[in-house]
Amino acid sequence: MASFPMKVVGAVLAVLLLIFVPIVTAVEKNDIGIERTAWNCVQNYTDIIADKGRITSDDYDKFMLKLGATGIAWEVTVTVDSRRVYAGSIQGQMEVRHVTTHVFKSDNGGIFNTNEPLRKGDIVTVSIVSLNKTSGQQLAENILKIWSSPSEISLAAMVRNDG
Amino acid sequence: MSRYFGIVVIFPCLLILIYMISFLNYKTAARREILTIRADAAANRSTEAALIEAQLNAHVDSYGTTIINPEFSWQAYRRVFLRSFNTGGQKVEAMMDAWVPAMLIAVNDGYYMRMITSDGTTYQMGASENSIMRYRFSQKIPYARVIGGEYVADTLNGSYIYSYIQGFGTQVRGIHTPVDDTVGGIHDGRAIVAELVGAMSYMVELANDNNNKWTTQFYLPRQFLDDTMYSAVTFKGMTVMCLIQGFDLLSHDKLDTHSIAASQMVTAKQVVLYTRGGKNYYAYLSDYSPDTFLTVVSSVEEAARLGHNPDPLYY
Repeated sequence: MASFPMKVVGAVLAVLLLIFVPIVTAVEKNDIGIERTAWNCVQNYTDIIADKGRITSDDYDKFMLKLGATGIAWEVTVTVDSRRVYAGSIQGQMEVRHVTTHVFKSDNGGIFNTNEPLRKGDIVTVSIVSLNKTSGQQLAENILKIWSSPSEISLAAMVRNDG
Repeated sequence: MSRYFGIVVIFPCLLILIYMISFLNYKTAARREILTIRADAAANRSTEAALIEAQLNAHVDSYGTTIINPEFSWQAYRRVFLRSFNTGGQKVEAMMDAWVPAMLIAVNDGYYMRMITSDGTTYQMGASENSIMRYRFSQKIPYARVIGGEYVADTLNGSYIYSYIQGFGTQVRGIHTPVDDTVGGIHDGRAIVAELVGAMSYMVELANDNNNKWTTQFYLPRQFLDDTMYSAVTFKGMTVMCLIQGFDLLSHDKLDTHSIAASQMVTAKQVVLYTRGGKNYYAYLSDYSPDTFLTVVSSVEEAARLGHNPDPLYY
């Protein structure tokens, strides 16, 4: 008959092997999947804006729908740096500057109903920050007490066509 | 019995250990993979931004040669790249210099190289450790070669520029219509590609010779050579080539990537020039409502070179 401590160790190992390890593996894999899905959404949405030269509510709704498939809430920020061309200090020369002209945030509401036309050469940046924790992060925080920062993904592109 | 149970316990422990190690490896690999994908995507879009900027600020001078300001392209490249990682500022912008040892912008009749210099002067062997490394673009370098005793400047589209001295020191200069791509002939696309790859290689060597303070040694990736030398990219118009190496903003892993973007010149859009309140402004003809304006040009860049600024009413 095994000693009592050995029984306890055996029970702990059984719990670890049969319950904890599969759960941790599954949620961690799920987190990687979430990051990839969110990245693909950001990439597609950035390219759509850059190609069309417009930020439309229709495209934004589709983007949010796809992003919603990750199962967590995201805050979306779209920044537009407009290209400005000024006369240079020397005659016959010019200066190019990018000026941040628009910052659209999803939590402010309604701003995405704009059909603001963009110009070729403007820079558009799409950023998303997770508002709640993934199951993997929750597990790490509640059991292992490892705190993680929110997931953050962003991508910028230059507008390819006038809107 | 106790010994038997101990052996039984060791196996699950080992199993858990192996499982956790292999899973951590998988997670690290997956993390690295997504960082690489993000860096690649940022590099591609940045190169494309540099190309678009070059297209926008390009103009053709009275000799028919294409002029661009490559620094604007570099600024666009850097801004898009850093924006893709939600960062910016002077310090990070300065770090970018160390990640990009080679960048080249090829236009129809020549190319601009981004070269490393020491203390703002031209490159010197054995630069001191306290010297400041700077990058700057070269003057445009033509695709020139000697054919039949004559200097001929080739172009990407096959037309070629010739130049010779006629009697009494008169320089004759002209542009011939495009010719077919012939290896070793006046228009030799392969020779231009080889020249561009050679220029990139030269820049990498230059950066390595100058980086006595850095631990990174740069190299030209095999894939880049394959992409350019074996026609994955068609060099028929403006092209931007860029190499990123040792990028470590997101993790301690150093990521390497390269990107090439190629395109044609852009079509013109009419811009009107006018004066209001004693100030010179410009606006797109499609936006501009009053009927009176001074003149029409084909781009906002041309308007700016003529001393006009964007009209705040339309921008």
